[in-house]
Parts: sequence; C-alpha cells; structure tokens
Amino acid sequence: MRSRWLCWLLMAVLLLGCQVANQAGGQETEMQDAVAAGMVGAVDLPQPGRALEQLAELSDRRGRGKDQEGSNADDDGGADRGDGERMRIYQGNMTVEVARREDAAAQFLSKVRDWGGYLATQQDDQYTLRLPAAHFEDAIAVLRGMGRVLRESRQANDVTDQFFDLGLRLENARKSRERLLVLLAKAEKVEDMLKIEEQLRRLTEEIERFEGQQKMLLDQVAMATIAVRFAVAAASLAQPDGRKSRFLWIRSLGAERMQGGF
Amino acid sequence: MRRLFVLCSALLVASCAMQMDLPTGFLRLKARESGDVRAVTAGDARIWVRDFAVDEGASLNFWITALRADLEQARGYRLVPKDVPFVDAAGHKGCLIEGTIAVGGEVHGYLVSVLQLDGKHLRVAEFSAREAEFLVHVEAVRTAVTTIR
Repeated sequence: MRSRWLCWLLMAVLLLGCQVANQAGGQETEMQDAVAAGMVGAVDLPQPGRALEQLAELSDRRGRGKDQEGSNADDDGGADRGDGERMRIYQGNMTVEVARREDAAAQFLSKVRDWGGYLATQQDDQYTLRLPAAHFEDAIAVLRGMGRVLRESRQANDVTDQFFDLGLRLENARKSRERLLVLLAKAEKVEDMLKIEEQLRRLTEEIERFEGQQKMLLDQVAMATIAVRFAVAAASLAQPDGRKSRFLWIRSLGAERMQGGF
Repeated sequence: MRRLFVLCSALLVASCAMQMDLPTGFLRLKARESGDVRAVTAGDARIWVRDFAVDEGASLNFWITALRADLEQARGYRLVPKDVPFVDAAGHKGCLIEGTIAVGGEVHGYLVSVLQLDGKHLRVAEFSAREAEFLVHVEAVRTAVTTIR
C-alpha cells in the first residue's frame, strides 16, 4: 500500500515535470520563429529622441544603395574591367597619310559604326570619333594599317578617384536634402520655411550638377575618343636623286613614261 | 595543211595572249598592241599591261622593293606606304603600289601592279591619269587587275 502511494506520487511528479518542460520548449520555438520572421526587428521602434539620427542613417543606407546601383551601372559600361576596376578615359590623336581621304574616312567610319561608335565632328580632313572603349586599341590598329602614320598620341586618364569623390559629395548633398525635407515638414514659421526652401533649391542644383558630372565621366569612360586627320599623299617636293635603276624594266615604267611613249 | 597550221598558230597565239576585263569607260587600242594591253578613257586615263623578262631568282618582294626605291628616291614619286597583295585570275601572286607624281606641272595618279608569272617573267599593269580622272577610275582598275589572265 505504501509503495502504491509512492508510485502514484512519482508519476505525478513526472507528469508535472513534462508539462513544465513542454511549456518552456514552446516559448523557445515561438521566439526562434519570430526571429526567423524578422518580427523582433519590426517591433523595435525608434526612440523619440533619436528620430532625426535614424532618418539620417536611413538616408545613408539609401544613398549607399544608390551608389551601389551606380557602381553596377559602371560595371555595365565595361570601360575598364581588367585592371582592378580602374576607370580610365581613353583618347587618341592620329594623322595618317592615305591615298584618298574620303575613301579612308568612309572605311574607318564604317568600322567604327560596326563597333557601336559614331562620328562626333568633322572639320575638313579632321574627324573626331567616339567608340566603345573596348575597341580603342582595335581602332588604333586599323588606322595604322590604313597608311603612313605621321603623328600618333594616346592617353588614358585615370578618373577613378575623381568619380568616387563626386559620389561622396553627391551622397552628402542627398543626406543634407533629406534632413532639410524633414525640417521643412516640421517648420511652422513661414520665414523658416522660406529659408529651408532656399537651401533645398541650392542643394538640388548641386546634386544635379554632381549627377551631370558623374554621368559625363561615365560616358567618357565608356566611350573613347579618337581624333584622326587623313592627310592626302601629295606629289613629292623632295628632289629626286635621278639615279637610274639598274633594271631596264623598271626604267620603262612610270606615269611620265606612259604619258610620253604610250 | 598549211592553212590548218596557220589557224592553229593563230589560235595558240590567241590563247597565250594576255587578257583583262577592262573597266567601264576604257577603249582598248588593239591597233597599237603587240602582245600587250593598252586602253584609254575619253579623259585620257591610260592602262598598259606588259610582260617583262627579268633576271632569274628574285622574289616578288625583291622586285617590289626595287621598283619602290626607284619611283620614290630616283624619280620623286609620293607612294602610299602600304602595298596591297592580290592574286590575278590565273593564280599569279601580285602586289599593287599607288602614288602620285607631278608630270608636266600637273599631279598625276599612278597605280602599278606587278605579277610574278615565273622566276624569269613579270607581268606589269600600269594605270595613270590626271588626279581627278585617276580618282574616278582607280577603284575599278584595282578590281580589273585581278581579272588579268
């Protein structure tokens, strides 16, 4: 009888223990689910005194996001992939002596168009062409093959630092604008509103200017510029030495011979 | 029998004579030809195709270099620096040189193609005209020299 009571007591203790354990385990599972679902973060409300700081942080994050999008766009431009993602502006200037300028220009322009480039300007025998930077060296090689190269210069300007400086300035300007917008929403006096709006106008102009500069840099990096002058081979002004060839057949050739003894 | 021999000889000569598809606008001067090809335009552009016996053993490159040197250094031609290799209709390898020279106070264009027939013979086609006339026909002549056979 005594052992029967002891058995019942032991079973009751065991059941109680299991129930407590089950309740604890359930809470843990719910917490894990909440973390997994991001619910804990979602209910983490900002403290009243930190509202502006948190807005600035949000703006920062947004700015960084935009910058990342911008840098992805750079990658798509594909101006310079090989050398540690440096951004370079390629420019070339050549003078090539050819037999017929129009033919040479048409031939080169056709090639440039095949590469996705275009004729930017033409003034007499001077042509300025824009073409994808990836084909810069190809274009130089084509020009070299078209005739005698009288002048050649090339340069690659590294604008990586300049581009990222612009990005930082742009980011700061955007942050300031976000802050001003918040202040504008809170402003009650007309005088304050006017002052903030003036600042906003100035900042917006600055942002547009920076964006324009960035866009221009991206364009210059993506598209190389080649200025080429096709010089026509004119009749020589140099005095010929007059020494006759030792080969008779060569002596009987020439425009002057054809005009005479045809 | 004699007539047959003459006919065969004539056919043989005809089959051996050089041929060229002349560009439009050129008149062939058959009366002046003697185993060569001569043609002119109304604007006095001239084509002359001739064969030359040369010293044996030299390559086409040798002859081109010698011709270039003579035209540029001895006679004052201004030549386009790039020679253009080509093959004629008979499969002979050749090379085109183009340039300009002042003749009688006027700038003339000059295009000369040199074909190596064998180790001892060259076939040379020349085209020359005043610059304006030269530019009208030069591309057609470039094509025409590839039809030499």
